Amino acid sequence: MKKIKKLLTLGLAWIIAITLMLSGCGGRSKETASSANEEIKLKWVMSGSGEQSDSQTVWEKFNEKLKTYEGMKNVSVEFKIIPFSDYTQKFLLMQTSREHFDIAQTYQLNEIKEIRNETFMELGDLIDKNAPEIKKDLPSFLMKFGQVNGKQYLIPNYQMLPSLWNLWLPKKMVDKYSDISKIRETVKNPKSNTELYDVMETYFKAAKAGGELGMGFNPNCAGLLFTERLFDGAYGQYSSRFVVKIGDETHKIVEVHKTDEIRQLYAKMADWYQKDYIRKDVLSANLNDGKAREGGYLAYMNQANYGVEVINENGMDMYVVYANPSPFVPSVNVAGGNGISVNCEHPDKAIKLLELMNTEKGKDLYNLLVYGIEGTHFEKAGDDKIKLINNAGESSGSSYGLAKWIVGNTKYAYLLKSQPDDYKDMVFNKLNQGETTKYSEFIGFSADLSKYEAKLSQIDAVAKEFHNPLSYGALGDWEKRYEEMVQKINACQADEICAELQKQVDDFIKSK
Amino acid sequence: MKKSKKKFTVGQIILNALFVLVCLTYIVPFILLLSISFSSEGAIKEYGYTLIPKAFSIEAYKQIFNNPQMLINAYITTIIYSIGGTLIFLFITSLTAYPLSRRNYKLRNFTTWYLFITTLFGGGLVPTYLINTNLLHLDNTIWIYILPGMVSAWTVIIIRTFYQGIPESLVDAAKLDGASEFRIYFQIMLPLSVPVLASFGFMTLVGKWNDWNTSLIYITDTRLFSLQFLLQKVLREAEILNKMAEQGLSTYDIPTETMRYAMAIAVAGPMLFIFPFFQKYFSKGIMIGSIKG
Amino acid sequence: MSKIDVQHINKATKIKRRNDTTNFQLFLLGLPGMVAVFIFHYLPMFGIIIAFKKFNPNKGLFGSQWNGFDNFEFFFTTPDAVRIIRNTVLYSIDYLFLEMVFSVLVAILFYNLISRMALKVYNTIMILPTFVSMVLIAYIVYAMLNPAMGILNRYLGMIGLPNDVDWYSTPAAWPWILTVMKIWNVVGMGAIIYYAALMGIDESLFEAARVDGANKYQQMWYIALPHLAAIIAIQLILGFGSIFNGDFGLHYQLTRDVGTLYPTTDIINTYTFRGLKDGNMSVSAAVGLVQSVLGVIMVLGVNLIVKKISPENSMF
Repeated sequence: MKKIKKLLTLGLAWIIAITLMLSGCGGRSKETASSANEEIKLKWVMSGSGEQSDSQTVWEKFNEKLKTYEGMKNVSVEFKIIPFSDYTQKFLLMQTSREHFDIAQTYQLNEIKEIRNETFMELGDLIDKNAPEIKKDLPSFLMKFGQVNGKQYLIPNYQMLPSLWNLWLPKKMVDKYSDISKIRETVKNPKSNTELYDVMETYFKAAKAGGELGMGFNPNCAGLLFTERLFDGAYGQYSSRFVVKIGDETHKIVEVHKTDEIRQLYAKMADWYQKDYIRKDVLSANLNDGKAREGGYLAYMNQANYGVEVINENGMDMYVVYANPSPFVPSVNVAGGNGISVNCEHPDKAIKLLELMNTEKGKDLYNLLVYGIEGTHFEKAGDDKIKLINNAGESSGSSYGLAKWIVGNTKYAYLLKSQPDDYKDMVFNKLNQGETTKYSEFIGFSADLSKYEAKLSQIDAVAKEFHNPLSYGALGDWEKRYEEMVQKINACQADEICAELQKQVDDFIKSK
Repeated sequence: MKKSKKKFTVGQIILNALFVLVCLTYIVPFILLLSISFSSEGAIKEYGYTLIPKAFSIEAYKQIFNNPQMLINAYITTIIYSIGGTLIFLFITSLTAYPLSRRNYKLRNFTTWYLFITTLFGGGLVPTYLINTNLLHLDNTIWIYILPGMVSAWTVIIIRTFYQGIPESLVDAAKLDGASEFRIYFQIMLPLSVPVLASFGFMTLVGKWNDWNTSLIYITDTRLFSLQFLLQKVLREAEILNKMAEQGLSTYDIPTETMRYAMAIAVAGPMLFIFPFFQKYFSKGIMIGSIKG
Repeated sequence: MSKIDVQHINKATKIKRRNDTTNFQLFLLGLPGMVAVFIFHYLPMFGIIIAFKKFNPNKGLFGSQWNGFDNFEFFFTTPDAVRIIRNTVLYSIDYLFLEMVFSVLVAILFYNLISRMALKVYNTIMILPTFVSMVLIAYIVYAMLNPAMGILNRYLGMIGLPNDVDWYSTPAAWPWILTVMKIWNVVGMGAIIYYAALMGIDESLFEAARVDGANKYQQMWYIALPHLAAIIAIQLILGFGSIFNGDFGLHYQLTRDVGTLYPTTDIINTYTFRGLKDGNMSVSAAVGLVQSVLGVIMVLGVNLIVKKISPENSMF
C-alpha cells in the first residue's frame, strides 16, 4: 500500500511537471509575417566546415550584392553552416526543437523521408511564377531528382552525376603480362562477364608466374567493375538494393544479392583468393596502402577523370580504364539539393535566391558565396579559372570556402587552377549529357516501402554481414555461406517486398 | 616504537616485479602512440607502426594545433567546466547520498528506488535535447557541461554504501552533542569520505575532460567548445572529406592516421600530470584519528 | 496517569520530535539532488513514447503518429535475435565478474605495496587507456593481430607455434581477445574505487590479526575483502541492470566490423547500429526500451538473490 502511494505521488508529480514543460516547450519564437517593405531575412542551412574566419565578412558582402538583383532589394540571408560530420544529427535536433529555417540543403539527409515527413514545400508553382529561369537552365532529367510522385520539392544541385570509377593498372605490369588494348576492349564491350573475369585472370596468372604478383587484385569496389554497371537501382543505394537488370524491358525487380551476376562475383573472388590473386589480409587491412606503388596492386578501382587514359601517380605510370561501357546517370543524386521549408514565410524570395544560385544570371553572386571575395580570397587566372589565395579553402582552418556542389549549380562555378581546362566540357557535355550517356529508368521514382521498414533494415544488416567478406573472396566455403545469406534475406520477406516494389515500379514506368 | 617499513622483502620484490610486467603492457602501446604521433604520414604508410619513428615529423601536431586562439579558448573552457563541474558534482552527489545512509530516514527506500530507476530507463537524445534547449536554455552556455551531469544515481548509491560503512557511533556521539544533520554532514561525513570523493572526483574530472558529445550537440559558439571536441572536429572533418572524395564530391585527401594519435597525446597529457595530485588523498589514517579524537 | 507514564509520553514525544526534525533535515539535505535528478533524468523519460510512435521530427514527439509495437518488429523478428541476445548477455556477465575480480585484486595488491612512489607510478600507468579512444586501441590491436605484419604472429613463429592464423577470420578467438582487452582497459580506473574503500579499514585490525598469527593472505581474505563486500554487492546489482547493454565501442572498433566475426562478437548495439539507416529514432528507442525493461527484471532477480545471502547488502 505504502509503495503504491509512493508510486502514485511520483506519477502525479511527473504529470504536473510534464504539463509545465509542455507549455515551456513552445519552441523558439517564430518571426511574424512582415509587410512588403520590411527587411526579409532568410535562413539557409547547409553543410560545410562550420563557420570560418572570414565567413561573416563574405556574407556581409553577399547580402550587399544580393540587394542589387531584381526583386531582392529588401532580402538578406543568414547562413547556418553545420559541419559535414554533424549535419544529419543536428538537422534532426533542429527540427525537433522547432528551430526555424527557410532553406536547407539535403546532402546526408534522407531526402525522400524528409519530403514524406513534410519538411519541404512544393515548388512547382513557385518556380513557374517567380523563378522560371530554373527550368530553362537545369536539364529536365536533373529536376526529376528533386521530385516525389511527380511533384517538385527540391532544386537538385547540378554536378557530375555518372561515377568516375576507373580500373587502374600499373603500366609496367600490364605491358609485361597482358595487353592494355585487349583489356580496354573487353571492359568496353564484354560479350559476357565471364570474358571480363578471364582477361583479368590471364593477367594475374602471368604475373604470378613471373613472380611479380605483388598485392594482386584489390577487391574493394570490384563490384563497380563487374556487377554494378549491370544493374539499375530501384530502391536503396548500396547494401540491400532491389534492382533491375539494365536492358530488361520487363523491369523485373530482384534483390541484388540473389542475382546470378553477384553469385558469379562471389565465386570468382573466392577462386582468386585461393589462387593468391587477392591478398590474404584483405578483410582487416587498410586497403588503400597498395595503390600505385612498387609491389602494390596489379589492378584496383579508383577515381579518375573521364577520357583520361594514362595517369602518373606517385611516380608510377598507371593505365586507367573507365569502368562502364558508357557513362551512366544513376537514380540518386548524391549531392542532394536545396529545398524550402514549409514554414518559410517568404517562399517567393527564397525561390528567387535559389534561382540566382542555379542559373546564369546569378553567376557572380554564386561564386562569391562559394569562393569568397575577389582579390581577397581568389584571383582570376584565366577566362573561367581562378587561383585561391590567402588560405581560402573548404576546411575549417581556411579563411573561407564552401562546397560548390552544396550551394548550387556547379556549371557556373569558376574552375580551380588544379582542374583541367576542359573539366566542364568533360562533366557536362561528355558525362552528364553525353552522346552515349544512359540514364537510369528510376530517376524521379521514390518507392514507398515504409510498411517494410523494419524488414529492410534487417536485410541491410544481413547484407552488410555477408556481402563484404564474400565479395572479397575471403570466406572459406563460400557457397555454404552464400546459401545462408540468401536464406536469411528470404526470411526477411524479401520476395514480398520485391512484389510490392514491382507493382510500384510498373505503375511508375507506365506513367512516364 | 616506530616500526621500520621493510621495502625490500621478497614479497615486495615479487609484487613490484608483477606490477612492472603488467605496466609494460600499458607502456609499450603508449610509446607506440607517441611514436606514431611524431611520425610522418608517409612513414606510416610505408613501414606501418614502429616503436621508433622512421621519419620524425611534427606535422600531425601542427595540423591539430593550427588554430591557437580556438585551442586556448577550448583549454580554458574545458578547465573551468571540468573543475567546477566536478566540484559541484561531488558536493551534490555526496549530499544526496548522505540521507540514504541513515538507517532511520523515513524516505530511504523511496529515494533509493527513485534514484535507481534512472539508471535503468532513459528518454534518449531527443527529449533530453528538448528539455536542455527549449525549456532550460542551457545551449551555448557553459552550464550545459555542468548542470545536466550534476547527479549520478550510480555514484550516489555507491557513496551511500561508503557512508553506511562509517560506524553509527560517530553519528550518535555528535547527536548527543546536539549537532544538526547539516553539521553532521559537513563536519563528520564529508571529511571522512575524502578518499572516496577523491576517487570519484578524479573519474568525473576525466569524464568531463574527455567529453566531446556535449559540444557536438549543444554548442555552436566557438569559444565554448570543449578540448576533446575541438580536436575530434579536425579528425571527423578529415574523415568526412576523405569519404566525400570517394564519392567523387571532393578532391581533398587529408592524412588522418598520425593526427588521431597526436590528438590522444594532446588530451591525455594534462590528465596524467593531475592524477598524482589526487593520489595524495588516498591515504589511510583519517578514520582512526576521528574515532580516537 | 502515573508520573512514569507521563514521563514516558513526554520522552516519546521528544524522541518523535527529534526524529521528525532529523528526517526533515535529512530531507532538506537530499532535496537539491532529488530536484536535479527529476529535471535531468525523469523529465526526459517521456521520450520513451518515441518507441511507440512513427517519429516525424516535424511533428515533434507529441504530434507524431502512434504505431503500437511496429518499432519492436526489427528487434524481435530478426533472424539473428537469438545470437545477439546471447552474445550480449554472456559478454556482459563475463565482463562484470572479471572486471570486479581483477579490480579488487589490483586494489588489494596496491594496498600491500609499501612504496608510495611505486604505487603512484603503477596506478598512473594503468589508467592510460582511459584517455585513449577505442578507435586507437583498435588500431594498436590490429597492429598486433594483423595477419600480414602483426607482431603476435611474428612472435608465435619465433617460438615455433603456427604463425599464419588470420585472427580476423577466427571467430572462436574473439571472446578471449575481447575479454582481455576489456579488462586491460578498465582495471586501472576500476581499482581506484576499491582502493579508496580500503583506506577506510582500521589498521589496528591487521595488527591484531598478525599478532594472532595470520599471514598476509589471510589478512587480506578475512579483513580487506569483507570490508569491500558492500561495494562489490552494489556494483554487481547495478551492473546486472545493464546486462542487456553491451560495450558498443569495444565490439565495433576492435573487430573492425569484420563480418566473419559476427557470430561471436555481434551484440545488440552493434547489430542495431548496422541495421538502422539514417538512425531511425523510433526503432532505436524501441530497442533501448527492451534493453531497459530486461535490465529491470535482471536487477530485481539479482537483488533477491543477494538478499538471501546477506540481506544488509541488498539494495532494497
